[in-house]
Amino acid sequence: MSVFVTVLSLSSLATILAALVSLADYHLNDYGVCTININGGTRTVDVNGGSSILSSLAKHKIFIPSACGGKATCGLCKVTMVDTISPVLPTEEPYLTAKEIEGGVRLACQVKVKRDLEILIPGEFLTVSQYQAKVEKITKLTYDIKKFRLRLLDPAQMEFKAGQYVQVDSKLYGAVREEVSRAYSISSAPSDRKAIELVVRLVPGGICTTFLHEHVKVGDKLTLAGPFGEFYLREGADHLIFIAGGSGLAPIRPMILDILKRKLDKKMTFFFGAVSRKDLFYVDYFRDLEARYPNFTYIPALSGAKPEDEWDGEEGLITEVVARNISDPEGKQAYLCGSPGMIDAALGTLREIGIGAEHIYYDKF
Amino acid sequence: MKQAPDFLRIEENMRTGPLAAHDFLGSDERSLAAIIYHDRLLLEQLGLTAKDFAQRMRYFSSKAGADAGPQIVDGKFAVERAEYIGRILCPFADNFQAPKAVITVVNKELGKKVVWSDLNVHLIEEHGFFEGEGAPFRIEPSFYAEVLEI
Amino acid sequence: MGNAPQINPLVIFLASLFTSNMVLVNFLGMCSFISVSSEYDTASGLGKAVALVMVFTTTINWLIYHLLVVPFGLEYLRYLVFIVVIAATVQIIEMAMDRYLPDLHVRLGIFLPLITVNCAILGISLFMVIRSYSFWQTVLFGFGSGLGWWMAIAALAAIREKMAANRLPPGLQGPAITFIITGLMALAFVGFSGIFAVM
Repeated sequence: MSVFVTVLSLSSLATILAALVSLADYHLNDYGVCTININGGTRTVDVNGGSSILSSLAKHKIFIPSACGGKATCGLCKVTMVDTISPVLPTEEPYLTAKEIEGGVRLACQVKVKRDLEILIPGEFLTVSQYQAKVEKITKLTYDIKKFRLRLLDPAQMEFKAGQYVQVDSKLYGAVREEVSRAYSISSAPSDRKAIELVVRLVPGGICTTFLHEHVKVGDKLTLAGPFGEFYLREGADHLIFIAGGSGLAPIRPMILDILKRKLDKKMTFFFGAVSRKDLFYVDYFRDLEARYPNFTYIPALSGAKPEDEWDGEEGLITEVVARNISDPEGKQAYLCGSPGMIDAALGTLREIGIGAEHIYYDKF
Repeated sequence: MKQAPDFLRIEENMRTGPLAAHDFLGSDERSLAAIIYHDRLLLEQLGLTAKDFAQRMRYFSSKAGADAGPQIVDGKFAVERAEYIGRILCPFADNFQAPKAVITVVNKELGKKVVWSDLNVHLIEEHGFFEGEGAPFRIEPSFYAEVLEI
Repeated sequence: MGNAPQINPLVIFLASLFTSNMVLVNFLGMCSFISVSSEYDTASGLGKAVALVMVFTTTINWLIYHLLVVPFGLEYLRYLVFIVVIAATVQIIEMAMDRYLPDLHVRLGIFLPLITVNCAILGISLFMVIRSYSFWQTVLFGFGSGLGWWMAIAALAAIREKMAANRLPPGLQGPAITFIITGLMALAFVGFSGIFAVM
């Protein structure tokens, strides 16, 4: 009997308290409908107050790139507040410079919408949408690089510029208890709007690359957002130099295809760097393009060719190969994609050749 | 060992998930503060500081060009640096980003090999953190000191 | 309820402020007392929050203890009941603060939820049972203890701000000197003893 009374009274006490807390949550966390004014009225959305700017905007299909999913660990989802609303939180501080704080920059995942807001975000975020896609084909390109062909389901088409990237959401697998999103360049030509291809190199310990390489199968559905990025072809040069290493080939391929398809009168030289033969891919593909189009030159180079590779092409670091082949900076643009080390080295080489920084384009990942 | 509330948040970042597909703490059951403390004692026994460690590691990774294949350094070390696209954030939430790079050094005289990532150098230098037992990028101070001849 | 000590609630109030100050005499609630006392504004904010939570939780806990726990003979479960009530109260206060005092909410940050596990808060509720205080005695006891805790942390923070520029030997910086200051403050509070009847 006493056990019964104990359990009953304790549970009713707990129930009453829980009810009180949820009642308080319902009333205190209800900020009514708030209006978020984006980029001086370019777009306004009405949201239910109480949650973060990031998730409120996502409900209206406005996606601010974020790699951690709103936990203040990546510091990517920066937005500018037109007027100060509340002090910067300790969770945001590490990711903001003093200048940014002064300019009203905040992390969208940390600022709660409590009243009408005015914010500024890069204009391209307004044209970004979220896509559902189905994995149509997975091709092994090298021992650690795979190509994924994704058929777009909803929406069924994507318009993008050659060189832009998408953010792919990973799903839970193994011991991974959180979903993250990571950026991958589109490696297929923009003329095909119904499917996109991604070239992904497996990073040791990489959370999303491991997911794509080891857990995604043909037929699986993926969520992605895009297209993002300022890395696309610009006007005003008659000789384009492309420098890539590893999976950095991905955004370069559609750029080359785009120019060939539009039959533009531009010379193109594509330098592709790898360590040894086993790191090379798409060689026959580009050799074939080179044979068919006189304005396109393909120069693969190995930095650590082994005797068994029987390599008779260019050797050395890709930057040395560039320096050997390019000397005149006149009328040239350079497009780079690769590891941070490769980009830094290539920037140095191009500077020595005399190509100005305003003619060099690359994505800062 | 009792630790500050912000360390709990950092431990969360280190778990499998937000930053990497592996756990920075590995299978270690000790707290983050305890791991750092014990490694500091280990270093003291070796007569080294975390700065010595980071400097020596940086020396090797600067000798190997990105994706340049194995290079021979000082006649007996084979050093290779593989770089990937992208950066990884430091789990201590100090807004530091390391390139995703893996450095492999083989001491040919001893016939022993060690591996680390660029982030390890920062973790050791700034936070005295060598990662937990069983983590894939655990830098065991005595073994690394032996192989790298620190 | 019937055998409450015959002490004027006002005396209990003053006693809990000075002679049996929660933190300086009973040494309860030391964690946040040491760690959040480097800035006067934040410390004072936390002090206010603790005082608020103390008044609310002791009052609610007295009612629940005498109307629910005692009639059903559940005295042995009082730790559980008190902690659950404290947790819920802190939750609600936090939400209210986020809504109406966002600046303070930001500054208290992680320490607000930690009030739940501030031992001074639970201590008050347990003292009120051991000392079998009546309702009004309890309310003023909670109020006095809360004010006392606030006063103590505000005083400590003020001292620490004053000596922020002082040159200390490295081994004494931070928590070390704070413990010494706390000890000296406690000694000073011992000087109050004998002024009021203490339970």
